[in-house]
Amino acid sequence: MPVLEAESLSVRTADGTGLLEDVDLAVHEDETVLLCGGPGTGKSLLAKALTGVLHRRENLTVDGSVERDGEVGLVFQHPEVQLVRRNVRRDVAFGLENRGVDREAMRTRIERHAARLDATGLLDRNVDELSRGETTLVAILGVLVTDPDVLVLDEPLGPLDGYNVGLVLDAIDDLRSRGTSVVVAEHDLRDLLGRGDRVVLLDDGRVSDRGDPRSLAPALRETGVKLPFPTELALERGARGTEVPITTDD
Amino acid sequence: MTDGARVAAIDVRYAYPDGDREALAGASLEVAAGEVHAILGGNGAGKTTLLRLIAGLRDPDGGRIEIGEHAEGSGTPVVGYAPENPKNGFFAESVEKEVAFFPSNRGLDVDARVAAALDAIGIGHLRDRMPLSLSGGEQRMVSIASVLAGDPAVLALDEPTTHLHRHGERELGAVLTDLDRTVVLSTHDADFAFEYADSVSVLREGSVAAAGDPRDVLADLELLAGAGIRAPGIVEWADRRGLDRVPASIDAAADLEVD
Repeated sequence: MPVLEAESLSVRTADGTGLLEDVDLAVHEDETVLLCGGPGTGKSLLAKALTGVLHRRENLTVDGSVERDGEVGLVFQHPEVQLVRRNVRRDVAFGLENRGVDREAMRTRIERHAARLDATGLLDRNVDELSRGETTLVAILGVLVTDPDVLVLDEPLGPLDGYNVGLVLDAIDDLRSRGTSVVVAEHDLRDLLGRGDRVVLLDDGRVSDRGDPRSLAPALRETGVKLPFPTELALERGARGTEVPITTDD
Repeated sequence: MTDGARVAAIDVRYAYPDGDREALAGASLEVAAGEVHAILGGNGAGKTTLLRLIAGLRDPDGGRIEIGEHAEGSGTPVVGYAPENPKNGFFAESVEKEVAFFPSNRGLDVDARVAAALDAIGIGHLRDRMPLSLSGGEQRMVSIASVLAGDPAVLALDEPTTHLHRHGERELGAVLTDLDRTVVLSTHDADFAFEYADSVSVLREGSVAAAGDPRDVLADLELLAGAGIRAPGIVEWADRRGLDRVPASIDAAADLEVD
C-alpha cells in the first residue's frame, strides 16, 4: 500500500497552460524517491502537488487524485516562507500546537528532534537572524517534530554549505532508517543519488523516465542534474549500467 | 565598455547593529582587474557582508575598500550588485524594462546598453518575458544582465549558482569568464569556483583564511572542512586515489589511467 499515490495528476494555470500533465506516481513506505529534471520541468510543482498545498491556489487548477496514507510534511524551496513566528522554538512548535499536542510533550519532542539535527543552539534565536542554512534546518525541524510518514523536500540543498548539507543528509538518513518515506525534488544529486531507491525524471511537466538511480544516471546527466563526480567521470568514459558508481565513495 | 577594475579589501571590519559578533573581523583580499574571483565560505562566514561592502551598499566599521586605484568614493569605478535571490531585485513587467533600469538611471545610451547586456548574457530571446515568470536559472541571467547594463567595472554577485542546474552553471561560467569586467562572487560551491574562478578567497569567521589559485587553495581538504565548505568532487576523487596533483577538469581526469 503506497503512503502517497498520485493518479493522472495535472496542474494548469488559469489560461489553461499545462504545468504538470497526467503524472502517475506511487511512493511506498520506507522508500526514497528523487524527483529530477531540468529547469522549469515541474519537479518542484510536483513535490508541492503531492502534499496538497496547490489545491488552495486560486490561479491553478489541479486535476487527478492524490491519496495520502498518513502525515505528509513539506519543506519549501525558500523555507523562510514557512517560518511564521519570530522565535525559533515557538515557530517549530506551530505544527504541534495545531495538532493539540500538550506543552510538555511538545517541549520534549522539539528538544529531541533539535538534538538529532544538531540544531539545539538555534532554538532560542530569532528567525530573522538565521543564515540561509540555518533557516532550512529550522524549517526541516518544524516538519520533523510532527513525525511525518512522508517528508517532501523541495530543493533543500541549494543554499547550504558543506556542514549544513551534512546535517540535512544525516536527518534524511535517520528518517530513512526509521521507515519514513522521503521525496526530494532536487537538481543537485551529488549527495543524494546513492540515497535514492527510485528516480523520477520530468520533462515539460510529464514523467519522461523512471527507474533506479544507476540506470537513469545517463539521462540525468543529459538533463543537467548534478551527479557525484565518480558518476560523471564514469559516464564521461562511456560506462553504463552496473559499471556506473552512484556515490562519491565508489 | 571598461576592462574591469582592481578590487581590494584591506583589514575590513563590520558588525551588524543587532549582531552579537563581528560579521567581518579584519578581512583582506585583492582581486586583479578582469579576474573572476570567488569568495568561498560556510553559511554565516561573512561572504554576503563582504560583497555588500565591496558594492558600497554598506560602509566598513574599520579598514577600507578600494575599487580601481582609489579608495571608494565619488569618481571611482561603479560596482554592480546582484542579490542572492534575483526576485528581490525585480520590479518591471518585462526583461527589457528590467535591464533598462540601471543605464537609464546613469544617463547611458539605454538601447545600446540593453542590447549589449542581453547579448553578452545570451538572453535576447527573453527580452519580452516577465522576469517573475522565468525559471530560476533564467532569472539569474536577467539579474546579471540588468547589473551589466549599468556598465559597471566590477560585478558583485551574491551566490549566483544557487538553484542552478549543471547546464545553467556552465552557461553562467562561460558568461562570466568571457566578460571584460572584474567579477567578485560569493559562493559555497567549490566545484563551480574550481572550474571557473581565476582566484579564490576562503572566508572563515569573518576573515580570510586562505587565498590564491583555486587549484591550490581548493585542494586543501583540511582547510575546506574547517571552513564548512564541501570540497570539489574532483578534489575528493583525486585524494581518494592518492594523486599528487588534482586534474584541472573532468576531461583531464578521464584521460588518466585511474579508476
